[in-house]
Amino acid sequence: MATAPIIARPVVVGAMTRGLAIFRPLALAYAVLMAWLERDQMRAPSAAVATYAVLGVWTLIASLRRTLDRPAVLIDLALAVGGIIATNVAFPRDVVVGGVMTLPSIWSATGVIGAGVLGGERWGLAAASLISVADIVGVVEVNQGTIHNIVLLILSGGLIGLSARLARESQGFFEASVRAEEAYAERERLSRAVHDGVLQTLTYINRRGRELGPGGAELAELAREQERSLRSLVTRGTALPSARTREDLAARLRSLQSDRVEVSMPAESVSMPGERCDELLAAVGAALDNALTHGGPQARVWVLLEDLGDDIEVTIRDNGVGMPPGRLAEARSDGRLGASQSIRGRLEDLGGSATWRSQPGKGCTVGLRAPKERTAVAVPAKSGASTRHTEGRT
Amino acid sequence: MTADDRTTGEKGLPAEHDARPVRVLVADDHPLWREALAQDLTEAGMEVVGTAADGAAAVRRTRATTPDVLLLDLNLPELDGAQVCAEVAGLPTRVLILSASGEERDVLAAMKAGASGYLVKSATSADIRDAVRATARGEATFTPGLAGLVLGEYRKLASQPATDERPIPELTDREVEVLRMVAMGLSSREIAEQLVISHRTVQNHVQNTLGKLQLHNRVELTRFALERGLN
Repeated sequence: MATAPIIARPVVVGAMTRGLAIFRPLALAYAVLMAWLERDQMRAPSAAVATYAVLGVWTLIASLRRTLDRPAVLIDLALAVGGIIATNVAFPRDVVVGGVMTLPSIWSATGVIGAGVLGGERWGLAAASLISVADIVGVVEVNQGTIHNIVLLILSGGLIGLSARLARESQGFFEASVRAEEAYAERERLSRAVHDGVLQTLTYINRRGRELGPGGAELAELAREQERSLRSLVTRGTALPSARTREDLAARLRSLQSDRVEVSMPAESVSMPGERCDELLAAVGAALDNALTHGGPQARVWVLLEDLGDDIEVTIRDNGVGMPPGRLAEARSDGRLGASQSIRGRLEDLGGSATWRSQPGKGCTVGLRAPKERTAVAVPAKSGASTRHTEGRT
Repeated sequence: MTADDRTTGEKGLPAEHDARPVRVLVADDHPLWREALAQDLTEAGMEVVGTAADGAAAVRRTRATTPDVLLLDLNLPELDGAQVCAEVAGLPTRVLILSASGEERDVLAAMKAGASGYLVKSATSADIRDAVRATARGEATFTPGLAGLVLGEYRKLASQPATDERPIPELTDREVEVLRMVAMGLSSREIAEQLVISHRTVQNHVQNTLGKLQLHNRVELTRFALERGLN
């Protein structure tokens, strides 16, 4: 798979930085033109010339620096505020109150846009408020033009900030998913390689070994163990990680597969809240231990996961020695209920139920049923169970 | 037409009572495996009519020899198991998938495309021989894992909205019961004993669950092809 480049900075932020570099000189040219048209009304044209000289120098420096960082934004904002105050020096009072444009005019927006791009909507809004306050203080008597400008500033500061933040976040998600996908592809590739070569050979050694008599049987057993553990290694966790709070019960149950345990499940993942998954897995694990410990050394266990829509059902069956009737009652009178009680308790906490079926010599079947999501309604015990005696094993 | 119309009879009745040896084609890309399997089956009195190392050759040779059973590895170069099954679906040959465990999802696709059975490669030689014979007789060979997937597939189909135009195959209560027992590791014999029915009836139930799924798959594929063609 081709490696997708990991982009260090969101594309949108880069584009806005370049846009701002173009906006600064254009806005300055516009401001100078506006001031030139109003030159007859000026009280102190030297103040305007000085302001534009400072703005011009900074605009030049900023275009050469080509980066948008915190000092640049602070300088933008400071110069804009200074320019707005200088308006009161350049023009007589009545002209300012009459609604003449401030000296920096639309150049004031550079700091607001920069703050939004750098720090998101909060900084954008804060910068817009700063310029607005300077405007209000400068003109003393607020007129319609001032309000209009303030609304536009706050809108642009907020919206540009918001879009920059969203762009950053989606960039983060994108990078994470690219990384996960690469890890996944690599794992797939390794699995295939292991699968096609090593596993097939181990399976072959296992099969042939068993046909070669006692010496071969030992070899076969070794090959089989290696094959199983290698297989569980390459098949585990091949699903892409989804949301942290939900987990795939099927994938987690699959990891219980071993020499003596066979796990069956639907092809689709079974998504459940993580903590409910943990509880169910603990219950299944307890039933499994019970079956492997008490079923006898030759006992094998089958685990079946069924997705019933709102509920899931896990059935654990072993072909072990089973247990005689009355065993549960006996255990209860002894005051020890052990595994069955802990399993039942967990399932009841999940709003589900647990059932036992066993017969001497015929193994034991444990049925666990629980709703996928947390609900207040308890699920009735599994129907259709055979009428053989229902017993718990301790 | 209902899905139930399709039963075991569709592919004829070859090689009953060993009147003639079961004819088998072995398709596996591992030379070691391929030769070992062919030798095993020959020693067991079956006739290996040929071998194939890739999917395309498997299809070609199956068409040329129409064996009773195509013993098919799932991951062949050129055509995968499901594609090979689809290609030979019209022939009387039955397909037995032989594959590593843990590949059941791919096996499900092959089964839907027309295979009649699935066995893991770690099965003993005797198991494989028995499964080939059973497949030739028209019986379905299932692992518990595959039964769990087939059950899940029906449950998934049932959760989709049904329309008159798109009937969705359903399992009878008895079929669900049998499939669950297979998924829980019970053999056909044990299932027959527990449900007090004959071994043959158990086989029919398993076969039906598969047949309905395959029919549904074919109908959906045809519909898809028609829609693509008409648009």
